[in-house]
Amino acid sequence: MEAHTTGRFRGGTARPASARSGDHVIGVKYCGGCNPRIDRRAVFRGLGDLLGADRLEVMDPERPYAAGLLLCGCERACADRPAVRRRAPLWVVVGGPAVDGEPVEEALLAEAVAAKIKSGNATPLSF
Amino acid sequence: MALKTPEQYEESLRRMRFRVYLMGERVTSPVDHPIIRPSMNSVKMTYALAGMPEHEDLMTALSHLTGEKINRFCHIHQDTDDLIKKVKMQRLLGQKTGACFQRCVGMDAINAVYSVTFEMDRKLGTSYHERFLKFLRTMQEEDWTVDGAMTDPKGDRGLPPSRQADPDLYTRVVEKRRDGIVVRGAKAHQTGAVNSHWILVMPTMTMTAQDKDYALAFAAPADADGILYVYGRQSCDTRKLEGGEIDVGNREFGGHEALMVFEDLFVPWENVFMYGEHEFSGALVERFAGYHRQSYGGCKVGVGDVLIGAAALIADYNGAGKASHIRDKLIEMIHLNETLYSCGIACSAEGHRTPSGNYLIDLLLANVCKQNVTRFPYEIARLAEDIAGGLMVTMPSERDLRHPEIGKVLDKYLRGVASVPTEHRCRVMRLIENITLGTAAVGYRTESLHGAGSPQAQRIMIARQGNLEQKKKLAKEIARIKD
Ligand SMILES: Cc1cc2nc3c(=O)[nH]c(=O)nc-3n(C[C@H](O)[C@H](O)[C@H](O)COP(=O)(O)OP(=O)(O)OC[C@H]3O[C@@H](n4cnc5c(N)ncnc54)[C@H](O)[C@@H]3O)c2cc1C
Repeated sequence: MEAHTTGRFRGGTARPASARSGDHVIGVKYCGGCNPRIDRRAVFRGLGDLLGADRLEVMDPERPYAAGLLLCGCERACADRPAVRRRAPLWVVVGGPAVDGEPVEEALLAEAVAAKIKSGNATPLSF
Repeated sequence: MALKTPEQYEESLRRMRFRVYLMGERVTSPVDHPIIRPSMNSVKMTYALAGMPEHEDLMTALSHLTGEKINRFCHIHQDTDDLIKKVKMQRLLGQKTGACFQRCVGMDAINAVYSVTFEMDRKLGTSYHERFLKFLRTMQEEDWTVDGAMTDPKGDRGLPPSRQADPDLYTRVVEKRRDGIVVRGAKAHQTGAVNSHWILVMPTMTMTAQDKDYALAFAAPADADGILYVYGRQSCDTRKLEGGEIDVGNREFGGHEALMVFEDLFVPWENVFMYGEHEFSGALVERFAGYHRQSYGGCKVGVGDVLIGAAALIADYNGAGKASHIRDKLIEMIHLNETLYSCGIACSAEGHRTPSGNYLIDLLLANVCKQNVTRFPYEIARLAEDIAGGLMVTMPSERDLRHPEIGKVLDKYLRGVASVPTEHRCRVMRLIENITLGTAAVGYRTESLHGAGSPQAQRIMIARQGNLEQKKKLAKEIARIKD
């Protein structure tokens, strides 16, 4: 379950355009988080630790990406829409404790995503 | 600047000049008043979450007018996905605040006025929709919080507006000028009024020709000259003046209602969206109420999530968390809460396009949603109180807990499970008290009952929309009855 931010107003984590590097950057798109079964920010952080923080950024809708990661709180993965998918040719979808529909323990989600990305095993654009 | 930061929102309120009274005193800075501020924090959260990547997918939308990213509370629903996202956003905000975050009434009002003014213009050749679009565009650009103001004081419920002993008990036009109208009357129970930038006023019920002076819709700055606010009391509200943080239950967040009085308020024509067209008053009331009945399938569910969490925590702290009847009660609470959510999602998924292009919920399912909301939060609250135990209403004050001598006694005798600090147990008890019978109970209980219309109002709509004749036909067919 996601940590609540009650009482503290935190800004976003999108990085300024100047901090972006080349094609290897993975664009991360979150769902809205109405009832998350996993801590999506923790997965983001874990993945940054495994791949290097400079390889991840919150998706900028104006920019194309080599790969995208959908970080959704539950299996419904409601942010998985054609308009979002069009922003990158390859995708990994985390929907609750699952990666691309395969159940994965929450603590191992970041590792599972990193393994997919490293092996080039992300799912091609399907919409 | 289509999205305000939370800080900009607070600053914008600080610049407003409300005339508001609370407990017999004029409040000079509502934002800083300890009784009001938690409610401002809840609205502020609607701005904060919109700026967070992990919530923006629900909290923001693209304006159909400008293509700009705007707060969803300023959005006109473009499809059923928007309607569904609205409910999810409300659940999220209920979870984050544990209270009423007040901004829904405005969103529901703009969506109702949007489609009804379009239909009025088409039939009557008026130009209300054009006027309304101008208002809407500025609302979106400025990221305004708008108070949706429908409920009149209504005086003698057995009499129509024009037959009241005091004609001001329903909001009405007392003077028509070349440049606008002068309005007198009041709106009762106005959620978030003092945290709003503008108000959007609608008629309180279907008006007949005889009451056409009361068929009135308009917008006005919330701090306009001619508007007086008298802030509503909430159970346990003065605990917020004590300076502690345990006894209030929810220190950071709350909701509020106020009586809004129009003392000959001048409204220029450009902000008038209905003026005597009584035959459209019913549609406006029905649509606003419909959207608002959908809303409760999100916001109350989010607060319910917090209450269920608190009940589960207190069961653990009491050492009863593993008892089978406690687990079963928690299951029942979840079942009731998710049933409300199901109704909110269902009436959204079954929504349809109106002639103006925006989307309206399925009215039957939205009314079923709200009818359940008039009941289930009460049962969830009852179960939470059952699980908590009597201490939630007999617990000594925070000052006693902090007292150098008495505090030690309380720490010893109020402890539940040895490994859990007594203070944790006390905090959760107070949170449950806050939602079930403290300040937040206004939103979680009585608003669930009366907000968006008392239970009977939904039953009337269910009767109207229930398609009973079709059901009789089905029965006849199966029973092979031939008339
Ligand atoms: C916490 C809270 C927040 C609210 N927020 C808003 C808001 O932001 N904006 C807004 O516009 N409104 C708001 N409301 C108002 C809400 O819509 C009304 O409370 C509701 O419509 C009921 O009106 P009432 O309170 O005047 O009760 P009443 O109308 O007096 O109802 C009391 C009882 O009398 C019955 N009754 C009333 N009239 C008749 C009649 N003619 N014949 C038979 N039975 C009758 C009702 O069914 C009910 O059982 C809010 C209410 C609450 C409690």
